Amino acid sequence: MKKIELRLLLLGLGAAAFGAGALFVSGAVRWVLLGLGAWLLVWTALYLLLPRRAFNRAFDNVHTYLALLIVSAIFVFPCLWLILASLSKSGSLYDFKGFFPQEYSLNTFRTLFTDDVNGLYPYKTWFLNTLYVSSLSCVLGTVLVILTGYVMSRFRFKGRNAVKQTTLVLGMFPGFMGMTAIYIIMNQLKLVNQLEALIFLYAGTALTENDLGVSKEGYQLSGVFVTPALLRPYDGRAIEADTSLFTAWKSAVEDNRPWMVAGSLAGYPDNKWGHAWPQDDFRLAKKEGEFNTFYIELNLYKNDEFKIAVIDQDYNWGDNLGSTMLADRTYVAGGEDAFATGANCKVLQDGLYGLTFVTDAETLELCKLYVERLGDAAAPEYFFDLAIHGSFVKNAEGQGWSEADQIPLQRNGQNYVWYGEFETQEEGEFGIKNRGSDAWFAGDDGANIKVEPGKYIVYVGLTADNQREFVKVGTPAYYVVGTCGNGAWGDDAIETNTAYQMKANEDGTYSLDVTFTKDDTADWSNGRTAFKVVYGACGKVADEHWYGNGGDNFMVDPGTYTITFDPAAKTVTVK
Amino acid sequence: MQEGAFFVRLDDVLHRPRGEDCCALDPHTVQVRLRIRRGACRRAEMIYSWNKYTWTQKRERKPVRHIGRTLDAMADEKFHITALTLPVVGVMIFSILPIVFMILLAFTNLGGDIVHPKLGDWSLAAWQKIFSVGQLGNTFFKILRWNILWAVLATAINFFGGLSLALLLNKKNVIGKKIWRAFPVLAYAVPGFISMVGFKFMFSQSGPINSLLTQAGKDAVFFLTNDASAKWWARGIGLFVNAWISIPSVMLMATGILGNINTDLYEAADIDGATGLQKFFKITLPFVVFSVTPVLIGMFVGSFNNFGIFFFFRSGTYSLYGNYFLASDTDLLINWLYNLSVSNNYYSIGAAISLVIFLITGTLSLAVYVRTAAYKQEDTFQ
Repeated sequence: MKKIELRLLLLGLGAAAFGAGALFVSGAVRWVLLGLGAWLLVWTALYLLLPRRAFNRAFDNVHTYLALLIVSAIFVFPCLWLILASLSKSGSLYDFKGFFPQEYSLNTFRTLFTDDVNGLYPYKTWFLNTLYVSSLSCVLGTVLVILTGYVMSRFRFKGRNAVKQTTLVLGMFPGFMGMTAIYIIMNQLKLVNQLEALIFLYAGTALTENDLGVSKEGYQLSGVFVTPALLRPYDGRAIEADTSLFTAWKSAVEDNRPWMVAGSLAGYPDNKWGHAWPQDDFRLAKKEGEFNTFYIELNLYKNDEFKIAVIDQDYNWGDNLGSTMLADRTYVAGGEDAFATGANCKVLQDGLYGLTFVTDAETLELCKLYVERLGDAAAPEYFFDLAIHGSFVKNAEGQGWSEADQIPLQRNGQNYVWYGEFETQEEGEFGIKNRGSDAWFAGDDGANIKVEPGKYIVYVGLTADNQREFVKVGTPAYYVVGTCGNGAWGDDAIETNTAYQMKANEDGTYSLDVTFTKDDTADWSNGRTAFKVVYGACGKVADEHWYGNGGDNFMVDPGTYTITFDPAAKTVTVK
Repeated sequence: MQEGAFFVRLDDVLHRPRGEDCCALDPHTVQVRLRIRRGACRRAEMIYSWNKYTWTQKRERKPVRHIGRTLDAMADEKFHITALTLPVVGVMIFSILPIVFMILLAFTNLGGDIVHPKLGDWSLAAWQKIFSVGQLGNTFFKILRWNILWAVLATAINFFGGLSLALLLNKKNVIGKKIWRAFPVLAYAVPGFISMVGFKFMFSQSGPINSLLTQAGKDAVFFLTNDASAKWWARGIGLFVNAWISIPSVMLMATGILGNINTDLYEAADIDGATGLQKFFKITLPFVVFSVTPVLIGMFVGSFNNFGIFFFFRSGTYSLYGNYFLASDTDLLINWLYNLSVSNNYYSIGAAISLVIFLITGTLSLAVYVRTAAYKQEDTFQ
């Protein structure tokens, strides 16, 4: 009901306006009323006649194009008027009847360059002056801006920041601030009304101009000489990469890539360089209200290395960024450069970090990472799952360094010591990997450990925070250790201690003929010799490789004995 | 840099294929002997810092000072000194010196009768005059009031005009967007000076608009004359011309921003049954205003100090009513400053006024400045 009433009201109004315009009023108001009335009548009629959707579309289209026409006319008309007025035959703006000149000719342009109207309008001189000032100040200003831009992007020197900040602050001062002063200074220098004054002024202030007057649709200018290749600090080497532009353009396109932090992170062992799926814990979240800005908070520990990358479920790496994206290197700096794909980011200090990642949808090199230290890191939880990884650890196809068939190490009780035995038929090299944190442990010199063919036992000692303490490799053997010999117990399980090394027998047992004297006793052993049989190497013995009299030591008086060990039964017999 | 021998031990060389597999460790400990020539030391250090190799021995002698070497260095690793000298001198003379000079000038009595070769003296007379009840102070506050009103109106008109134009051109049912967009861009391409002078002619006493009016049998309107009748005409025309010049650039900017709005928001709004107006006020407007706050402040500052528009429109016009001191009713502070100091030698008063302007606009500029990427970003220039 209401809608029908509204229609009737509109119809009535339109008719009234139209009628009033047509019958009673005169002048401009009449035309306004007529137009308004016609407009109302036509639309009400269409509303009644057309289906709802068709009406909406027609209404929208007509008004959109009407608005476009009006706007275009507003913008084009003055331009058109200026051009046509310049072509007026009379040369004066004031004798037009209406807006446009009656007659057209190129006469005005001819007189402009030929007649200086008694020296009042020496247009030719003005034209040349303009050319002179603008070309010279353009060249000078460009040279100065280019020099400064180049030096600021390539050189790192004392006072660089001061120069940069000063330039920015000066750009903040409005140009008129110095107007009076420049006038007075120029007056003193007798440079007022001299063209050279303008050249110096334009060139001198070119540096403080913020707006360079260049634009590109869909992009924002992010600076001069900030092409990533040019941001590399000067080191005497030439830039060999193609750098087509000395300016960088930031894209105005929104970046919707699923960026994640991927690395070997002590606090997040399941990250495994992006192997984690789902990636929720490592995804950078879009910052509300800020353009192409991502954020994540993470506990990072010293020597953690990471990149920010797009990685899919099948572990295919897409766009990724290493240390080149770091805005400053206080807490995070460049680390290793694996496969020359760019150095990883390496954490220099433990802490809870907020990583703000400002991206560019098109140019990877314009992405920047801002690292903020929010506080101390929570103590990391390390996971230990050690395995031998080497050239002789082969998979089914016979390739070394097999991923799947590593030799796992056993943990020695609750100590941070792991051990394991392996046998190799060929010369090779190996290291130990903590599969829980991706950490890699090798020889004392950091290189892989080389081995000849043979049987080996390896002992790995770590600290509680997953740092290497020792890695020892040796040929395992059975030793009799105790108060005898050096009296060093476990430390005596070493290759040089041949006197107490047990010999293998044909039946698979090991035995040793030994004579204990009074020297082979300790203060506490009441003149007797205490010993056990152990299986180890390099002075290391695992807890389960101690064999005694039950759990206790054997206690014997000085004398000659044959000690036999049966590995199958794990029993020791003493005769 | 002297020639010498450096020993580098290459160890700890881990090659990690994207860190996943810790294999292919280089088992060798290599000793590399580098012969260091001039300039090469830097390279060796680079290798050192990039790859965490360790120096086992480092022998270095202090370089001998030598004019040839100094000159070489000025073209090589000390090139920044060579390159920056001239620009820094230029900035000192034409930017820093004038600013300092002007600040000091505001506290002297230079100007009026006291001009070169007479010497001025330190004085606060300029400030007293501005903030007192005399003709000068009266003019100052009148102009300040109009200046603020102008800046607010001009910014609002330009911003919303540009935004509406961008929205209009962004509509889905508009065919030939590029062609429609070309018309405002045409206006954008005409230099501001020329369009201002053109409009001045158009609205002049015997210009085409008045000639149309007289043809229609009406009295001519003196839009830009110097008495009270023209006050609001001139101000209105100023706002219109300023909008005509600035709206196209705002439109271009807004078009870019509108492209960045997440279309999901609109889809969600459609599902919830929002109307076009609701979508504009709840999604588009907040997004655009938030994105352009710094630009908006910049526009405000630019409008506040828009010297050109009334300089070209009413140059040399001093209002004959309202007790204006060397100013017209449309003049902004910056126009008045120009009238006072350049045209009429009131140097110290001019300097004081420019300090006032700076206090107002500088505060706003600073607010923008701390938000800019240039301030936050370490590696870029300008």
